[in-house]
Amino acid sequence: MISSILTSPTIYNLAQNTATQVGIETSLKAVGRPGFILIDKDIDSNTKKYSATKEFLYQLTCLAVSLGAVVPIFKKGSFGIARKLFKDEAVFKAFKKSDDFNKFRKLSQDDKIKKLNEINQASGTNYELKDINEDMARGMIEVTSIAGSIMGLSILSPLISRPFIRPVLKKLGISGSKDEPQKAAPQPAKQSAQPQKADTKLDVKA
Amino acid sequence: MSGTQKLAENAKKVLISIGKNNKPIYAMMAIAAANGIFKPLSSLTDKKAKPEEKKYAALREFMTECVAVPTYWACGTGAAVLGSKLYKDNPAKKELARTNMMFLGVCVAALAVIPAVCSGAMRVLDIALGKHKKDSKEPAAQIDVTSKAPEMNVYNKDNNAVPKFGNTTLYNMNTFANRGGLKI
Repeated sequence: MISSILTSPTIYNLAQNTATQVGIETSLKAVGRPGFILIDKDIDSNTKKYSATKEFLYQLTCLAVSLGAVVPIFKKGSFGIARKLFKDEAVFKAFKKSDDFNKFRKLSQDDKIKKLNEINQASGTNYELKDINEDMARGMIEVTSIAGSIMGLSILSPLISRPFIRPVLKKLGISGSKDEPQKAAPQPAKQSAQPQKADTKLDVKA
Repeated sequence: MSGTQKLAENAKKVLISIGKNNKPIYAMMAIAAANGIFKPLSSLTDKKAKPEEKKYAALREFMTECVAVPTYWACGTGAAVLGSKLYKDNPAKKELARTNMMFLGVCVAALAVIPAVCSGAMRVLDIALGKHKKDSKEPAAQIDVTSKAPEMNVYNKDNNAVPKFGNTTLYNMNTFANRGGLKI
Protein backbone atom coordinates (compact mmCIF):
# COMPACT_ATOMS: atom_id res chain seq x y z
CA MET A 1 0.00 0.00 0.00
CA ILE A 2 2.67 2.54 1.11
CA SER A 3 4.99 1.35 -1.65
CA SER A 4 2.28 1.83 -4.28
CA ILE A 5 1.67 5.40 -3.03
CA LEU A 6 5.38 6.24 -3.01
CA THR A 7 5.88 5.00 -6.57
CA SER A 8 2.50 6.05 -7.98
CA PRO A 9 2.75 7.74 -11.42
CA THR A 10 -0.51 9.62 -10.66
CA ILE A 11 1.01 11.29 -7.58
CA TYR A 12 4.17 11.94 -9.61
CA ASN A 13 2.15 13.79 -12.27
CA LEU A 14 0.26 15.76 -9.58
CA ALA A 15 3.53 16.64 -7.86
CA GLN A 16 4.97 17.95 -11.13
CA ASN A 17 2.07 20.35 -11.72
CA THR A 18 2.46 23.76 -10.07
CA ALA A 19 -1.28 24.51 -9.93
CA THR A 20 -1.94 21.20 -8.13
CA GLN A 21 0.98 21.77 -5.76
CA VAL A 22 -0.30 25.23 -4.83
CA GLY A 23 -3.90 24.00 -4.44
CA ILE A 24 -2.95 21.13 -2.14
CA GLU A 25 -0.49 23.19 -0.08
CA THR A 26 -2.98 26.02 0.42
CA SER A 27 -5.70 23.54 1.46
CA LEU A 28 -3.31 21.98 3.97
CA LYS A 29 -2.39 25.43 5.30
CA ALA A 30 -6.12 26.18 5.66
CA VAL A 31 -6.39 23.14 7.94
CA GLY A 32 -3.00 23.17 9.69
CA ARG A 33 -2.60 26.81 10.68
CA PRO A 34 -6.07 27.30 12.26
CA GLY A 35 -5.66 23.88 13.89
CA PHE A 36 -2.43 24.91 15.60
CA ILE A 37 -4.01 28.19 16.73
CA LEU A 38 -6.93 26.26 18.26
CA ILE A 39 -4.69 23.89 20.24
CA ASP A 40 -2.53 26.70 21.64
CA LYS A 41 -3.17 26.72 25.39
CA ASP A 42 -1.75 30.20 25.97
CA ILE A 43 -4.50 32.01 24.06
CA ASP A 44 -7.98 32.62 25.41
CA SER A 45 -10.87 30.98 23.57
CA ASN A 46 -12.24 34.18 21.96
CA THR A 47 -8.89 35.13 20.46
CA LYS A 48 -8.35 31.54 19.29
CA LYS A 49 -11.71 31.46 17.49
CA TYR A 50 -11.07 34.84 15.89
CA SER A 51 -7.52 34.09 14.75
CA ALA A 52 -8.33 30.58 13.52
CA THR A 53 -11.38 31.72 11.53
CA LYS A 54 -9.44 34.66 10.10
CA GLU A 55 -6.58 32.41 9.00
CA PHE A 56 -9.00 29.87 7.51
CA LEU A 57 -10.86 32.55 5.53
CA TYR A 58 -7.55 34.05 4.38
CA GLN A 59 -6.31 30.72 3.04
CA LEU A 60 -9.66 30.15 1.27
CA THR A 61 -9.30 33.57 -0.37
CA CYS A 62 -5.77 32.65 -1.44
CA LEU A 63 -7.01 29.41 -2.96
CA ALA A 64 -9.85 31.08 -4.83
CA VAL A 65 -7.77 34.00 -6.10
CA SER A 66 -4.74 32.04 -7.26
CA LEU A 67 -6.40 28.94 -8.70
CA GLY A 68 -9.59 30.59 -9.90
CA ALA A 69 -8.15 33.60 -11.64
CA VAL A 70 -4.43 34.28 -11.61
CA VAL A 71 -2.88 30.91 -12.54
CA PRO A 72 -5.25 30.26 -15.50
CA ILE A 73 -4.59 33.77 -16.87
CA PHE A 74 -0.82 33.39 -16.54
CA LYS A 75 -0.96 29.88 -18.02
CA LYS A 76 -2.87 31.12 -21.05
CA GLY A 77 -0.45 33.96 -21.60
CA SER A 78 2.65 31.81 -21.15
CA PHE A 79 3.13 30.91 -24.82
CA GLY A 80 2.53 34.50 -25.91
CA ILE A 81 5.32 35.68 -23.61
CA ALA A 82 7.57 32.81 -24.71
CA ARG A 83 7.10 33.67 -28.41
CA LYS A 84 8.44 37.16 -27.68
CA LEU A 85 11.35 35.97 -25.53
CA PHE A 86 12.43 32.97 -27.64
CA LYS A 87 11.74 33.91 -31.25
CA ASP A 88 13.51 30.92 -32.79
CA GLU A 89 11.87 28.18 -30.74
CA ALA A 90 9.70 25.96 -32.95
CA VAL A 91 7.50 24.73 -30.11
CA PHE A 92 6.17 28.22 -29.35
CA LYS A 93 5.51 28.87 -33.05
CA ALA A 94 3.81 25.53 -33.66
CA PHE A 95 1.43 25.81 -30.70
CA LYS A 96 -0.46 29.04 -30.14
CA LYS A 97 -1.83 28.08 -26.69
CA SER A 98 -0.42 26.08 -23.80
CA ASP A 99 -3.56 23.90 -23.80
CA ASP A 100 -2.82 22.79 -27.39
CA PHE A 101 0.70 21.83 -26.32
CA ASN A 102 -0.55 19.93 -23.25
CA LYS A 103 -2.89 17.88 -25.48
CA PHE A 104 0.00 17.21 -27.86
CA ARG A 105 2.31 16.13 -25.00
CA LYS A 106 -0.11 13.41 -23.89
CA LEU A 107 -0.22 11.80 -27.35
CA SER A 108 1.76 8.70 -28.35
CA GLN A 109 4.85 9.08 -30.56
CA ASP A 110 2.97 8.19 -33.79
CA ASP A 111 0.06 10.49 -32.96
CA LYS A 112 2.52 13.31 -32.26
CA ILE A 113 4.01 12.92 -35.75
CA LYS A 114 0.49 12.95 -37.27
CA LYS A 115 -0.47 16.05 -35.29
CA LEU A 116 2.74 17.80 -36.31
CA ASN A 117 2.03 17.02 -39.98
CA GLU A 118 -1.41 18.58 -39.58
CA ILE A 119 0.15 21.71 -38.09
CA ASN A 120 2.73 21.85 -40.90
CA GLN A 121 0.00 21.59 -43.55
CA ALA A 122 -2.16 24.24 -41.88
CA SER A 123 0.59 26.79 -41.31
CA GLY A 124 2.93 26.00 -44.19
CA THR A 125 5.86 25.11 -41.92
CA ASN A 126 8.18 22.13 -41.85
CA TYR A 127 8.65 21.16 -38.21
CA GLU A 128 9.94 17.75 -37.19
CA LEU A 129 9.44 16.05 -33.85
CA LYS A 130 13.07 16.73 -32.83
CA ASP A 131 12.49 20.49 -33.30
CA ILE A 132 9.79 20.51 -30.61
CA ASN A 133 11.49 21.16 -27.29
CA GLU A 134 8.85 19.71 -24.96
CA ASP A 135 10.85 20.23 -21.75
CA MET A 136 11.27 23.91 -22.50
CA ALA A 137 7.57 24.40 -23.24
CA ARG A 138 6.61 22.56 -20.08
CA GLY A 139 9.12 24.59 -18.11
CA MET A 140 7.60 27.78 -19.49
CA ILE A 141 4.10 26.70 -18.40
CA GLU A 142 5.29 25.81 -14.89
CA VAL A 143 7.36 28.98 -14.47
CA THR A 144 4.41 31.16 -15.46
CA SER A 145 2.20 29.17 -13.07
CA ILE A 146 4.71 29.84 -10.26
CA ALA A 147 4.73 33.55 -11.18
CA GLY A 148 0.91 33.54 -11.20
CA SER A 149 0.79 31.82 -7.81
CA ILE A 150 3.18 34.39 -6.35
CA MET A 151 1.07 37.18 -7.79
CA GLY A 152 -2.13 35.65 -6.42
CA LEU A 153 -0.97 34.42 -3.03
CA SER A 154 1.48 37.14 -2.04
CA ILE A 155 0.22 40.32 -3.67
CA LEU A 156 -3.49 40.08 -4.53
CA SER A 157 -4.83 37.87 -1.72
CA PRO A 158 -3.77 40.13 1.19
CA LEU A 159 -5.34 43.10 -0.60
CA ILE A 160 -8.56 41.29 -1.50
CA SER A 161 -8.99 39.47 1.81
CA ARG A 162 -8.64 42.58 4.02
CA PRO A 163 -12.01 44.22 3.20
CA PHE A 164 -13.70 40.83 2.78
CA ILE A 165 -12.69 38.98 5.98
CA ARG A 166 -13.68 41.59 8.59
CA PRO A 167 -17.36 41.83 7.52
CA VAL A 168 -17.59 38.03 7.26
CA LEU A 169 -16.19 37.64 10.79
CA LYS A 170 -18.65 40.25 12.05
CA LYS A 171 -21.55 38.42 10.38
CA LEU A 172 -20.42 35.18 11.99
CA GLY A 173 -20.45 36.95 15.35
CA ILE A 174 -16.71 36.50 15.86
CA SER A 175 -14.87 39.65 16.74
CA GLY A 176 -11.39 40.38 18.05
CA SER A 177 -11.47 39.69 21.78
CA LYS A 178 -9.17 42.67 22.34
CA ASP A 179 -12.05 45.10 22.02
CA GLU A 180 -14.54 43.04 23.94
CA PRO A 181 -15.41 43.91 27.52
CA GLN A 182 -15.04 40.34 28.83
CA LYS A 183 -11.43 40.27 27.63
CA ALA A 184 -10.61 43.54 29.33
CA ALA A 185 -12.10 42.33 32.59
CA PRO A 186 -9.63 40.66 34.94
CA GLN A 187 -9.49 36.87 34.99
CA PRO A 188 -9.56 35.96 38.68
CA ALA A 189 -7.96 32.51 38.42
CA LYS A 190 -4.95 33.75 36.43
CA GLN A 191 -4.48 36.99 38.29
CA SER A 192 -4.38 35.34 41.69
CA ALA A 193 -1.45 33.21 40.54
CA GLN A 194 0.51 35.94 38.71
CA PRO A 195 1.83 38.19 41.49
CA GLN A 196 3.61 35.37 43.29
CA LYS A 197 6.41 33.23 41.92
CA ALA A 198 6.18 29.44 42.00
CA ASP A 199 8.39 28.96 45.01
CA THR A 200 6.76 31.74 47.05
CA LYS A 201 5.05 30.64 50.22
CA LEU A 202 2.82 33.24 51.76
CA ASP A 203 3.67 33.90 55.32
CA VAL A 204 0.30 34.27 56.94
CA LYS A 205 1.54 33.45 60.43
CA ALA A 206 3.06 36.87 60.99
CA MET B 1 27.67 36.40 -27.29
CA SER B 2 25.92 39.56 -26.06
CA GLY B 3 24.47 40.03 -22.57
CA THR B 4 20.89 39.55 -23.77
CA GLN B 5 21.77 36.34 -25.59
CA LYS B 6 23.57 35.01 -22.51
CA LEU B 7 20.51 35.81 -20.41
CA ALA B 8 18.21 34.09 -22.91
CA GLU B 9 20.50 31.03 -22.97
CA ASN B 10 20.49 30.82 -19.16
CA ALA B 11 16.71 31.30 -19.04
CA LYS B 12 16.38 28.47 -21.57
CA LYS B 13 18.49 26.18 -19.38
CA VAL B 14 16.33 27.01 -16.34
CA LEU B 15 13.11 26.35 -18.28
CA ILE B 16 14.40 23.01 -19.58
CA SER B 17 15.49 22.00 -16.08
CA ILE B 18 12.08 22.87 -14.59
CA GLY B 19 10.32 21.21 -17.53
CA LYS B 20 12.24 17.98 -16.91
CA ASN B 21 11.64 17.95 -13.17
CA ASN B 22 9.43 20.57 -11.54
CA LYS B 23 10.36 19.91 -7.92
CA PRO B 24 7.58 20.79 -5.44
CA ILE B 25 10.03 22.80 -3.31
CA TYR B 26 10.61 25.33 -6.13
CA ALA B 27 7.08 26.73 -6.09
CA MET B 28 6.67 26.55 -2.32
CA MET B 29 9.97 28.27 -1.54
CA ALA B 30 9.33 30.96 -4.15
CA ILE B 31 5.85 31.65 -2.75
CA ALA B 32 7.13 31.69 0.86
CA ALA B 33 9.92 34.12 -0.08
CA ALA B 34 7.47 36.41 -1.88
CA ASN B 35 5.06 36.18 1.08
CA GLY B 36 7.90 37.25 3.36
CA ILE B 37 8.27 40.46 1.36
CA PHE B 38 4.75 41.37 0.29
CA LYS B 39 2.59 40.25 3.24
CA PRO B 40 4.42 42.43 5.80
CA LEU B 41 4.23 45.34 3.35
CA SER B 42 0.50 44.75 3.01
CA SER B 43 0.10 44.69 6.81
CA LEU B 44 2.03 47.94 7.15
CA THR B 45 -0.26 49.66 4.65
CA ASP B 46 -3.44 48.64 6.50
CA LYS B 47 -5.09 51.98 7.35
CA LYS B 48 -7.58 50.55 9.87
CA ALA B 49 -4.99 48.98 12.19
CA LYS B 50 -3.11 50.86 14.93
CA PRO B 51 0.58 51.60 14.17
CA GLU B 52 1.88 49.25 16.88
CA GLU B 53 -0.44 46.44 15.75
CA LYS B 54 0.68 46.92 12.15
CA LYS B 55 4.35 46.64 13.07
CA TYR B 56 3.74 43.56 15.20
CA ALA B 57 1.62 41.85 12.51
CA ALA B 58 4.26 42.62 9.87
CA LEU B 59 7.03 41.22 12.06
CA ARG B 60 5.05 38.06 12.74
CA GLU B 61 4.35 37.52 9.04
CA PHE B 62 7.99 38.10 8.16
CA MET B 63 9.13 35.66 10.86
CA THR B 64 6.61 33.02 9.71
CA GLU B 65 7.95 33.09 6.17
CA CYS B 66 11.54 33.14 7.43
CA VAL B 67 10.74 29.86 9.15
CA ALA B 68 8.78 28.51 6.14
CA VAL B 69 11.53 28.84 3.47
CA PRO B 70 14.19 26.63 5.13
CA THR B 71 11.53 24.26 6.49
CA TYR B 72 10.13 23.57 3.01
CA TRP B 73 13.65 22.96 1.74
CA ALA B 74 14.66 20.71 4.66
CA CYS B 75 11.44 18.64 4.70
CA GLY B 76 11.30 18.30 0.90
CA THR B 77 14.96 17.43 0.39
CA GLY B 78 15.09 15.16 3.44
CA ALA B 79 12.04 13.20 2.28
CA ALA B 80 13.45 12.96 -1.28
CA VAL B 81 16.75 11.52 0.00
CA LEU B 82 14.80 9.02 2.09
CA GLY B 83 12.70 8.06 -0.97
CA SER B 84 15.73 7.47 -3.17
CA LYS B 85 17.40 5.40 -0.42
CA LEU B 86 14.30 3.21 -0.08
CA TYR B 87 14.42 2.33 -3.79
CA LYS B 88 18.16 2.50 -4.45
CA ASP B 89 18.15 -0.96 -6.07
CA ASN B 90 15.25 -0.15 -8.41
CA PRO B 91 16.22 2.70 -10.79
CA ALA B 92 12.77 2.73 -12.45
CA LYS B 93 10.98 3.43 -9.16
CA LYS B 94 13.74 5.54 -7.62
CA GLU B 95 12.86 8.76 -9.48
CA LEU B 96 9.13 8.29 -8.81
CA ALA B 97 9.75 7.69 -5.10
CA ARG B 98 12.12 10.66 -4.90
CA THR B 99 9.60 13.13 -6.36
CA ASN B 100 6.59 11.68 -4.52
CA MET B 101 8.42 11.71 -1.19
CA MET B 102 9.53 15.28 -1.77
CA PHE B 103 5.90 16.25 -2.41
CA LEU B 104 4.77 14.42 0.75
CA GLY B 105 7.56 16.11 2.72
CA VAL B 106 6.43 19.53 1.53
CA CYS B 107 2.81 18.64 2.40
CA VAL B 108 3.82 17.61 5.94
CA ALA B 109 5.80 20.84 6.27
CA ALA B 110 2.77 22.93 5.26
CA LEU B 111 0.32 20.97 7.41
CA ALA B 112 2.24 20.51 10.66
CA VAL B 113 5.95 21.37 10.76
CA ILE B 114 5.75 25.06 9.84
CA PRO B 115 2.74 25.87 12.11
CA ALA B 116 4.42 23.97 14.98
CA VAL B 117 7.82 25.65 14.52
CA CYS B 118 6.15 29.05 14.09
CA SER B 119 4.10 28.54 17.24
CA GLY B 120 7.31 28.03 19.23
CA ALA B 121 9.21 30.79 17.43
CA MET B 122 6.38 33.28 17.95
CA ARG B 123 6.33 32.54 21.68
CA VAL B 124 10.03 33.46 21.81
CA LEU B 125 9.30 36.61 19.80
CA ASP B 126 6.42 37.52 22.12
CA ILE B 127 8.63 37.06 25.18
CA ALA B 128 11.34 39.18 23.57
CA LEU B 129 8.80 41.93 22.84
CA GLY B 130 7.22 41.61 26.29
CA LYS B 131 3.83 40.60 24.88
CA HIS B 132 3.76 37.18 26.52
CA LYS B 133 3.43 36.54 30.26
CA LYS B 134 6.50 34.48 31.13
CA ASP B 135 5.06 33.33 34.45
CA SER B 136 1.60 32.40 33.13
CA LYS B 137 2.54 28.72 33.11
CA GLU B 138 4.10 28.65 36.54
CA PRO B 139 2.19 26.68 39.16
CA ALA B 140 0.01 28.54 41.63
CA ALA B 141 1.66 29.81 44.78
CA GLN B 142 1.69 27.45 47.75
CA ILE B 143 -0.50 28.93 50.40
CA ASP B 144 -0.28 27.90 54.00
CA VAL B 145 -3.91 27.17 54.80
CA THR B 146 -3.33 25.21 58.02
CA SER B 147 -2.03 28.01 60.26
CA LYS B 148 -4.24 30.47 62.01
CA ALA B 149 -5.14 33.44 59.87
CA PRO B 150 -4.21 36.91 61.13
CA GLU B 151 -6.82 39.51 61.81
CA MET B 152 -7.80 41.43 58.71
CA ASN B 153 -7.68 45.20 58.70
CA VAL B 154 -11.00 45.92 56.95
CA TYR B 155 -11.47 49.02 54.82
CA ASN B 156 -13.01 51.75 56.84
CA LYS B 157 -14.88 54.59 55.17
CA ASP B 158 -14.34 56.87 58.14
CA ASN B 159 -10.54 56.80 58.30
CA ASN B 160 -10.09 56.01 54.54
CA ALA B 161 -7.45 53.40 55.40
CA VAL B 162 -6.06 50.93 52.86
CA PRO B 163 -6.98 47.37 53.98
CA LYS B 164 -4.15 45.09 55.20
CA PHE B 165 -3.75 41.32 55.42
CA GLY B 166 -0.97 40.65 57.93
CA ASN B 167 1.95 42.76 56.68
CA THR B 168 0.59 42.87 53.10
CA THR B 169 -1.26 45.95 51.87
CA LEU B 170 -4.21 44.94 49.69
CA TYR B 171 -4.37 47.22 46.67
CA ASN B 172 -7.25 47.01 44.25
CA MET B 173 -5.92 44.79 41.43
CA ASN B 174 -9.01 45.34 39.25
CA THR B 175 -7.51 48.57 37.96
CA PHE B 176 -5.00 46.59 35.88
CA ALA B 177 -6.47 45.48 32.57
CA ASN B 178 -5.55 42.06 31.25
CA ARG B 179 -3.70 42.70 28.01
CA GLY B 180 -2.79 39.09 27.01
CA GLY B 181 -3.64 37.27 23.80
CA LEU B 182 -2.47 36.76 20.25
CA LYS B 183 -2.38 39.77 17.99
CA ILE B 184 -2.38 39.12 14.29
